[in-house]
Amino acid sequence: MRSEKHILEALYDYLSGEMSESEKRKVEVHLQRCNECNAECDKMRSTLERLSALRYAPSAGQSEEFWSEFPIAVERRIQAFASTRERMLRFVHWWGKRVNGATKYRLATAFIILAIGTTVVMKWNAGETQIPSIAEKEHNGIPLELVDQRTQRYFRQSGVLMVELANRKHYEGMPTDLSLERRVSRHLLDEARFLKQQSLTPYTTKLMSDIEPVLIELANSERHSEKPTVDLLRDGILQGNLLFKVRMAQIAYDSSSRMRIQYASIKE
Amino acid sequence: MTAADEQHIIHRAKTGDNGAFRLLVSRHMKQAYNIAYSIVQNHQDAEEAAQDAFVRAFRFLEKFREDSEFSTWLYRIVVNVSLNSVKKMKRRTSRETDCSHALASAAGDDMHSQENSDAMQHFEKVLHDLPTMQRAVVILRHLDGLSTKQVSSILQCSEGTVKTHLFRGLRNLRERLEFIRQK
Ligand SMILES: [Zn+2]
Repeated sequence: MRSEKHILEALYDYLSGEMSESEKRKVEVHLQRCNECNAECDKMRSTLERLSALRYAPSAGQSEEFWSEFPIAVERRIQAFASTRERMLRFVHWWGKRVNGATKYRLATAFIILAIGTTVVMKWNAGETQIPSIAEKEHNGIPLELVDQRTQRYFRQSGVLMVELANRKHYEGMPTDLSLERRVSRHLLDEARFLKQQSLTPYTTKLMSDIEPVLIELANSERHSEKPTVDLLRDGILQGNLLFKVRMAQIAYDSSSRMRIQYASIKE
Repeated sequence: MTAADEQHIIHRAKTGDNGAFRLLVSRHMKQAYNIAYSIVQNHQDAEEAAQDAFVRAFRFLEKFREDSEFSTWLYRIVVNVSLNSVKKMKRRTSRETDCSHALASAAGDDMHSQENSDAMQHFEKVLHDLPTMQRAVVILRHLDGLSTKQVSSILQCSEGTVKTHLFRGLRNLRERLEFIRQK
């Protein structure tokens, strides 16, 4: 072989026919002169031939029954997905009323385990359970997908706000600057107004209503608040178990949208 | 089903017609399953991945542009779900993986023993031992009969990358086959 480069990489295109006539000609000229590439070409051709002779259909390994069940199984999973979150939120609501501050984080862990359990049980039960129609994918012309995302963001931002407020230190005699919090809570109230016009599930609406009084209080507070205002807000948060509820709502929404996040990389 | 029929069905599925979506599932489930299997290499995970992919397709049907090909869009989801599942599998202990792999190939043997000659079985086994991307590319292109362009769109890489994987995959395949023959 002379100084000319081997054409190994081009052989695939050549053999699979994905090549222009002029390029083909060049390959053929090289093949006539180069034993090495010629041998390689023969081997690759036989590999391709064997491949095309191979009947590859793992799907044939499943029974006819399996395939008639398959679409039904998919539908069940779609329904289970839609209703799991609602069950989680109902659970949050129920627990939120009963749990005191010290145990809430331990319960949060228990809750996550329970949620996973619920999901598994859901898969078993989805067939028999009466579940709201999955056909309703749009409401008022706004895709539910978008409403989901905005609700998720609403709970996340509320969570950050509540945690920040609950941990806020007040220095005696010095007013606390709440201007940023005020702005955030006004934005969140606007967002809640928008979201409540959408087809939210009952427990999402309930949780939003629980948060609302604190947001209203905050939105109407003085830019620089005295200790009583800050204490009042903090009490409102702690008494209503809002940290716990918001955190759990966040988990409920996050876990159901995890697949959306994973999917974000697959854009059409 | 013609392309126009399918477009109509997709349109109906988008507006929330469950029957239409079921039709789409029925039409594409076997191919989706085969693609998933080519990556995850066992029936249980292939079933899981294929079903999961359809659930995602349902959730994100809104985002599907009707001027592009539904199968390409769907198979891309299948590939992504399957690759994720392989990543999870790799996190399991290697002993478990070996075990499931042995089970999978045992199941494979059982299934094809009547239709396929020994040589074919060898061939399939060797194919299954290729690195994931090489195997996926070879199967999609040569066993599922998709074009290089479709494969590149499903795997979200350039056609050049697909061809590189194809070339290496085929070469690996052949070398491993020769190695077996020599033994
Ligand atoms: Zn050469």
